[in-house]
Amino acid sequence: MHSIKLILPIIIIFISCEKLPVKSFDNPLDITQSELIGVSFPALVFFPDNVSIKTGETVSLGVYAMEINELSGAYIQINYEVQKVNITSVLPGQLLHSITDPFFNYENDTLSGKLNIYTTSYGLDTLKDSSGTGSLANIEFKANVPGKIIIQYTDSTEFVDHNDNTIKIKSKLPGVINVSEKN
Amino acid sequence: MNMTDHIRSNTNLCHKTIILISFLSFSTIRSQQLIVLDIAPLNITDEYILILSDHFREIISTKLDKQIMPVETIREVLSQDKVNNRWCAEKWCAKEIGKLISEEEVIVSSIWKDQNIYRIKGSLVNINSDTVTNWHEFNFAGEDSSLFNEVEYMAYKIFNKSSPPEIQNKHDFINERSLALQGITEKNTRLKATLLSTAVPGLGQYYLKKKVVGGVWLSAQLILGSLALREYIIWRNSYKNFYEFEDLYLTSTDVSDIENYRNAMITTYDLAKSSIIQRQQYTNIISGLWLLNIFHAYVISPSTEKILEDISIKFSHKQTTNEFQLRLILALN
Repeated sequence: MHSIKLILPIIIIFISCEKLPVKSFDNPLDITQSELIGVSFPALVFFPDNVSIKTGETVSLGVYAMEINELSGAYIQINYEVQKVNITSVLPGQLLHSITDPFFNYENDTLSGKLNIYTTSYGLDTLKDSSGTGSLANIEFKANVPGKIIIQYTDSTEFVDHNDNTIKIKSKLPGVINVSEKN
Repeated sequence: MNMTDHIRSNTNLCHKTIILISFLSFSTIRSQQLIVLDIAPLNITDEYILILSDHFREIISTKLDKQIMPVETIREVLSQDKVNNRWCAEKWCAKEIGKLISEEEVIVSSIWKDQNIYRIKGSLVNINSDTVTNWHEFNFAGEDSSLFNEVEYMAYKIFNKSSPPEIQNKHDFINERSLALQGITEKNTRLKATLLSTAVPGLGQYYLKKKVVGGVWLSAQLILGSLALREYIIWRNSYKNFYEFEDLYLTSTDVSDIENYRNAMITTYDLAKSSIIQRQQYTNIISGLWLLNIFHAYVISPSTEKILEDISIKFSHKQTTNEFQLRLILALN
């Protein structure tokens, strides 16, 4: 009986179906993975870039600049489907924070479905710049109808350094909101 | 009626009374006797069956203290009806003979040599109640000489008496030897050892008294099982850890943290993968050894020759022990 108790776990192992975890690296801010899938830097992405909600619910998407050098100001234009979603709030991000809060302003054109964000980093007497990866803004969307909603950066989006030189954005990746009917 | 006729008449009456009393007395004595018919033979020589029958009667009369009718009387009575008592082995026949001789109890028996098997059978039949009071049946493979003991054993069994230890021992020996000679012991031992080793590695070997070998098989399985279990636990932990790191990875916005969690995911994934491979290797070895252990138990099961040898050793030892015990009891007395 004692032997059977010892053997039993071995039998369980013998017949058990061990499986490997599903390896997927879906964080849009993962630089290694982004390079592997062909994203060029500097890039502008949403975080999270794919989210599921129900109608009537809100979701916050971050506007992130990746692997940027000496960024001082940004004009970001986002195109969204105004019939499907509303923008309920737009807040400044962390990347352009210095000893003072960055300049931050936005215009939401609800007729054309375009959100324009203006943000600049500045110190006491001069413009400051920031490098690396970080958020420029946080936008809260409210889904009105079910379906797949795609949020995109337009070509008007522009980054500049403290000398007002344009920094070329090599990749602009869209965000997706999957909206399902509320029960 | 004259005096002479009167005397003659009285004498006749007296004779008749004496005869009647004698008959009644004789009947009373006879009713206490037991008829033990000769053992009915089949493929056994007449000489040997007569020896066995005499021995059977002797045991019943001397050791079991039963009053039996002399065989000559039985033969004489039956010869008048042209009946050979040696051919009676069944209840119906015992009943007929019992009625013929006017006795209450009859023992009928037979020995049949059926190729290599001796089939020995005996019944105590009660004529009045028309029932078989007791019966004994035993089949064995062996030699003619064993019949001597078995006839004696049958005598005890028919009267529900326990046989003396030496007779019981010999009977056990004949029985075990018979099973071995028929190949039953070999077959059963092999089957049992194989099944035990299938259930628990090494248990079959242990059953065959190869305790060290059995221990080695079991230890090997336990060690390999522990290693497989270890790999299983590693996999389980790695699997769990992977998803914990994935949760952190997916929610993190710090680039260096993301990189760290990503590396942790890769490490745990690789660990889970390698532990599955390792565990599979161990289970393959365990399965292989398990099968080998079953085969080994089958192969090392003793042959009939070895079983017969073991039985001889076992019973010679038993006999020695019994003799020693007897001597000890006598000495103590």
